[in-house]
Amino acid sequence: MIRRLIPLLLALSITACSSRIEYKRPVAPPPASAININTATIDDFERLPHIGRKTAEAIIEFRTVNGPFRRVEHLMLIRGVSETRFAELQPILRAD
Amino acid sequence: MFWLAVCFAVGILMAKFVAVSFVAFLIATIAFLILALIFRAKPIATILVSIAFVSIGAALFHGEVKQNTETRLKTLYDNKSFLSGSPVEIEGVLLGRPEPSADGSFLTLKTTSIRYSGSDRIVTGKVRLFMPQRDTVQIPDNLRSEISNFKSEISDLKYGSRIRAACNLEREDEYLNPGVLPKREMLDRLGIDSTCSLKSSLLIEHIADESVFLPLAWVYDQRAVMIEDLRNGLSKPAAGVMIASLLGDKYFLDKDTADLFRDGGTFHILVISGLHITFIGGLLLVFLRWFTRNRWLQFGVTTTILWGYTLAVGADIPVVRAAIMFTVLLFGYAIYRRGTLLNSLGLCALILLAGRPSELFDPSFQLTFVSVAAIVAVAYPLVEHLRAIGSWSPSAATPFPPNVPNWLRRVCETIYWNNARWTIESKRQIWSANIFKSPYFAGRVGDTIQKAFRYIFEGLLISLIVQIFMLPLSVIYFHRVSVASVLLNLWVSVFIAIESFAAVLGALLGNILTLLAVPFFAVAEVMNWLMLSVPRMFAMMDWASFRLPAYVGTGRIWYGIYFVPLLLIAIMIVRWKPFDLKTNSSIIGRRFLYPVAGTVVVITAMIVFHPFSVARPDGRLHIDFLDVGQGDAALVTFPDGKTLLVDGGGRVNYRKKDDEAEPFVPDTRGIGESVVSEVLWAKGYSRIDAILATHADADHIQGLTDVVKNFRIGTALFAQTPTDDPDMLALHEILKRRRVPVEIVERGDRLKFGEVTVEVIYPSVSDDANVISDNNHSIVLRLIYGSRTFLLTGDIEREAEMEMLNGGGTLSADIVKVPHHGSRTSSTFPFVEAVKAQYAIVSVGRASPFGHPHPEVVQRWKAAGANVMTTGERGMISVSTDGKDIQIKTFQP
Repeated sequence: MIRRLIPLLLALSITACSSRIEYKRPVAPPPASAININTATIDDFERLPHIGRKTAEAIIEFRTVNGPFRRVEHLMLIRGVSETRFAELQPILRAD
Repeated sequence: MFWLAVCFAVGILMAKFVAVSFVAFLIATIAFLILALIFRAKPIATILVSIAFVSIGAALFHGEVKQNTETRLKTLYDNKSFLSGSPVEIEGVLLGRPEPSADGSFLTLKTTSIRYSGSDRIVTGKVRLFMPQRDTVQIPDNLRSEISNFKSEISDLKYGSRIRAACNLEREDEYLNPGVLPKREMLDRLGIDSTCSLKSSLLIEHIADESVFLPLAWVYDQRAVMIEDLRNGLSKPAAGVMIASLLGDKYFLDKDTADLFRDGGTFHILVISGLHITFIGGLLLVFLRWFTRNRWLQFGVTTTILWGYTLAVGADIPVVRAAIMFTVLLFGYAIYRRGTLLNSLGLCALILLAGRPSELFDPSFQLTFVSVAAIVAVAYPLVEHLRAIGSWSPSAATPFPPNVPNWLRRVCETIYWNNARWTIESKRQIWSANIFKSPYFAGRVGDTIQKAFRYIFEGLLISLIVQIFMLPLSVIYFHRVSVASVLLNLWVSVFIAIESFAAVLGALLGNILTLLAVPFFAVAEVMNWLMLSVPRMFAMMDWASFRLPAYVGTGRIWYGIYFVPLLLIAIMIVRWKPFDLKTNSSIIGRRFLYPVAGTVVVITAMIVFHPFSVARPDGRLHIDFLDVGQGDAALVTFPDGKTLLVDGGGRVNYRKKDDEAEPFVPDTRGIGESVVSEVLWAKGYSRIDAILATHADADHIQGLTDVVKNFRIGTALFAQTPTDDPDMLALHEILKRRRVPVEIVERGDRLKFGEVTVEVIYPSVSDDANVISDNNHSIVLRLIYGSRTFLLTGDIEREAEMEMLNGGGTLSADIVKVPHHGSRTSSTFPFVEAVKAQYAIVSVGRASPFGHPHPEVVQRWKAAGANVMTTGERGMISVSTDGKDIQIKTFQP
């Protein structure tokens, strides 16, 4: 009986698997006036609200060491850029 | 089988300490097996097979060490290909649902690739990410909807979700002191390569949901629902206990409750392991026996449900271990092969160790196996013997009464003799007999009471035997001897079992109708209160447990020796034949039992009173500046062996003060417990002669609270003691409870510790009721021994430095603890000039959140001729002097 059960169980476990779903988040195109954080200079960053000289320098250094930003959210990896601050900046930033 | 497992373990031990290659062990294994085959008919074959198992163990251990391949994340961090704390983008698949906690959730990720310094590569290994759950209140209105939309997508994460997270992965040891468990070792035990706390959940991208086995996903979902139900239905402490003990998520346990469990030696009940699996498995089996006699069916259903549960609670190593053990035992039952329990245990050990040889060094493995072995090899046979003695009635196998001392027979008969059963039994026989039993409570107690008494007796006996066997492990790993645990284990298990039933029923019925759940949750609450009431009583009176150091180095041998007489007793119990008239077993027992038991008592005393744990006084003045991260703690050991602990480290609490009626304090180990106490234990102390709190900042005094809890303290020294500071209040409360005398010191006081003079050169103490104790009220000490001086400065800043300079006292010192972790607000030029130190020691974290020590300050001390060292880079810094020379040793070269 057990021998008959094994293929049944195998078949069951294959059908009991979900299929893969891929997500592609629709990205709203940033406004043309948005600053590209991969090319902006220290002065460009300093002009943004709540960004001082020190943070601007830290952003440039981060970019030099780790390569260009893939997403604007990654700005939060820099000390001094909190979630709240980022939320304010997000509409005027882009990363390409 | 048991002996083979022992041989295997010996092999692993050997491989760890003897440098012989994998191939050599492999060849040895094959050679011995061939030899065993050749001499298979001779007794020598047993020995050969045993030796073969020793070498298999060693070979597999080597194999496991080699297994850490080049793509493994932990290898990449350990060989410095990646720097700990550097930003990375890590991609991987979630191994379960996000594990909820009070202020966020933990994600365990099976990694597939990483992006480091702009380049991608394939990696393997597990990482654990913490995703904070912040309120969106501070986010501007126009963005709130967009961000919360995105957050809800993140909250959809489930088992099998593929995510990419940008974070600063960490794999680095912190708090570098002797006796402190390195972080990397702790991660390895958990099977985790590195960890990270994400700044925001926006740093996570949900890429895909991989194909998963649906029943398993369903199990994970149900567990999440159950956690939510229990959180909603029960009070925070009760929910914490239930979620930890039933569902294996300890993040909701509050510190107070968890400490009660620890004090009482019952914390293991909260950790899902052997006890739970046995309980659930046993219950299932009893239930299934009503329906079917087919043992294969019983085996199949029980193991399926048990493994489902194991996976649901996160399949942590201890749970898997217990599940394997239960499966092996049950398999024996299914094939009608009971064998001895000890052999089954041996088989389990073999399976587990063959899979992961390094597990032998895992405390959790050792604790499980020693406790199960104590039950199976000692407690169970002993209970069987006592039962047989107590309930003896003549039969063909045992025609004569037990040959044991009278008192033992009477005790056993009191517990086990059932007269009613004997009356019925004797009527069914063709012969008749009069037997004389002498139970102490003859005729005075009913059957039910006797039965209850029997269960309590057996429970206590088993609990006691387990505690005796666990003593060395408990001292080595937890520095704790829990006196009350024999009793509390029984108490807590009974109530937690009832509470669990009530809570589970409540949660299940709550899904049908909320009202139905109410009475069940109420019962669970009452049970929770009752369960904790007795441990709380013991804890209040400081009776529950006491803390003590473990021997280190060669002193460890005591713990090994301890098991020798215990094993002899175990063998005696197993071989004890209470009904054997010829050998007069009781005399054999007595002849050997008393000396052996005496030895156990002596070695226990050696362990508990640890007379040789502290190094002998060497006539030198020692100061150890502990690495407590951002904070201060320095242990002064005087030439005559007296000790003074200046500050005890601590963590600054950045969290907002909880306004809720029921504030939640998570169960985390503070610096005082996990670092300062551990260092003091590693040095062999259980008593500290004096503690001194320089001022009331958390990173200086919070840890002292744990030290006062864990050690006997001679006296506590303070300057100003504000009455409204929470950390100061907590410290004073515990000082009062432990009856430690408090003394106030101020400028001008001179304390003598043998030949060493300790001058208090700051501050003056005000009599004002509203005193404060901030940085500029720190106690400054100057220690003088022979021609050498040391200056300990707390967190003084510019103002205090000026006041001292203007006061005109001598400030010069050979060694100075740099004020305020090297902050720029301290170490003014005139002060640095006046001290003229040879060595300037900064007590600071590896990566200080405040940027300490400030480069300017470091430069200032260097310019004045000082050699600057930080605890962040060097770990614990130990300086010593005989009054003439100065020696410096650091934990990290």
